[in-house]
Amino acid sequence: MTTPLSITTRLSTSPGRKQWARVTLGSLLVLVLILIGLLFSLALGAVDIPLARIFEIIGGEEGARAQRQIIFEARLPRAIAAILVGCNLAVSGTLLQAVTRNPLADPGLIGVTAGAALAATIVLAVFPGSAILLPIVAFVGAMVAAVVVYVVSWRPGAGSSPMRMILAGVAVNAVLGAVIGLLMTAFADRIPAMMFWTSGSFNGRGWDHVSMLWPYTLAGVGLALWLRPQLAVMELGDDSATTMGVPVERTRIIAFAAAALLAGSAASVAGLVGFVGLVVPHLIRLLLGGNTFLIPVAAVAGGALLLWSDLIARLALAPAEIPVGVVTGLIGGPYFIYLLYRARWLR
Amino acid sequence: MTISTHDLQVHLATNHVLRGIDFTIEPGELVAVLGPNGCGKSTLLRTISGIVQPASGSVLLDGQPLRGHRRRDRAQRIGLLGQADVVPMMTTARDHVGIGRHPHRVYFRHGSNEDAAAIERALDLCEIRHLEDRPVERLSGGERQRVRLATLLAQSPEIMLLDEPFTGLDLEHQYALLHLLEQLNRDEGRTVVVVLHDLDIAMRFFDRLLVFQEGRLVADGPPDRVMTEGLLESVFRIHASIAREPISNQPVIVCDRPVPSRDTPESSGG
Repeated sequence: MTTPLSITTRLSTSPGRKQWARVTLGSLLVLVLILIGLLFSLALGAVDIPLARIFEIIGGEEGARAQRQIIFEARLPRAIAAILVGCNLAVSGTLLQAVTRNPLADPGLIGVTAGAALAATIVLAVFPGSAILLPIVAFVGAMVAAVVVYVVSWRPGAGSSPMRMILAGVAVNAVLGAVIGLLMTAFADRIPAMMFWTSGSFNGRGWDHVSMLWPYTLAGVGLALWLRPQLAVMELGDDSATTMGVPVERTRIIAFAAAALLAGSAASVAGLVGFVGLVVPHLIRLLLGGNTFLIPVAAVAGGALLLWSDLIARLALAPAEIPVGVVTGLIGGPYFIYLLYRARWLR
Repeated sequence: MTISTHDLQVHLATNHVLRGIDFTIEPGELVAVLGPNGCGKSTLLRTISGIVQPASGSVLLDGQPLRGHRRRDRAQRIGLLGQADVVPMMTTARDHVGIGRHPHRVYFRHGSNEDAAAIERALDLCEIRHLEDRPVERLSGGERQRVRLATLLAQSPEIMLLDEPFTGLDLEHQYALLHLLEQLNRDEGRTVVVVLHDLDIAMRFFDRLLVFQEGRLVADGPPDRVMTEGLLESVFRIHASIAREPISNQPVIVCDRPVPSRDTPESSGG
């Protein structure tokens, strides 16, 4: 640090050019993945439809009513629902990892997952005739659990802290998990329905679910993008963030609420899909080489991951369908381990 | 920009950490804050920078209460290099330094030429250009400290508060940092306030010393007036004499032995 202050600044060296290249390539990659995934999702299934035929139908060609129905009433809404759920989970995980400064944070950590699961289990076990209410009840359960975690982690005068938030999440998860276990024991004959929901599925998801989901996706991702500069500063610690002009407590509450809305709405539509919220943010950091454009790229990547996972869930053991959460874990997990092995970022 | 405190009282949990602190720091002063562990030095910097709220009394920035200034304006004027070393995930040294520009940035603008110039300059001044693409979590403690310092320089505040900034730095970089702070103070008129434990460095490099003991400001003035053998004994609990180094004629503290122990002070923080 002996350099004199009169040193010439080197503006000619464009900052992070290598990183910009990685961001561009990474963004293109996830966009291509989602587009190809979307085409395959429309084409493949119990009845295969050639790609050329899909383009004709999308282009507005009349006739082949059955194929139009398959594409527009079944496969397209299901694919869009998968994309939106993946996007919600990935952005929720990104927000929570930033807010808690914990690389292991995901929607499961703040009680959202367990809250949705308990609410869904109550419906499926105690009121199986009201299964139509499942999405709304699961969403309410998720929100109630998130509020409880935040309130428990808050202390008068000191506000919340990442550590208390994590510990409160662990405690609330434990309690809710125990109640779910109790219900499963008491209503053992209904376990298959509960298990399928708790492993996640897009079976039968249609435009109603998409309509329910997209406002939350829009609001949640919008909030996340708006908060991104403050969250980047908060990663340096609360003290640094405060001295750099960030309203720490307010930012944390908004980010937490956005994460809960995103994950709660995702769980209400698809059930519990693990892994996406935890791993997609890390995958994208590894891909992009940093945090620049993390939120938008993670959003698209989350959508792509769940779209492909749902495709595999539909086709792997066709005509039977496996839970999509099983696919995300089985495929994404080993790939993530491989990336961790290769990554120079982590000790 | 003047910063002053009036009858400042700070409580942390049940501890009364700062008691009745009164001082004024004029623009362009080079100030060392000294005192034994737990005397309230760090709490003082955290209060001046708006992290900790006083129980009573006030912190004034140019005569206006600190809370009366907008967050962003305050952040453009006062910067803190704290002790806590929170390492962000997968963040390069350059990105870390870039975060220092947050108070100057406008929404949806990635960065102005001024931002870029400040970042380049901070990277050069702290000699971390060769580390710019490396993740901060993989740097050594000393390298990381230089990245944190560069982030403060990128923030470019008029008042720089540094809490034990020499932690983790080797001797070369400690002295380089001291000279850099001197230069920033002399050439750009920045106010520099540093918490440190090395009394020799405090006497040689700083114009004014604030000495704290058990949450009270017990001495305030230029080094040759403040640093006495009596103060060393009563505040720092050492029997020592102050000599002159024969070649440079700089003051040097020659420690003899500690003063016999006594009850631990009730206050904490520091």
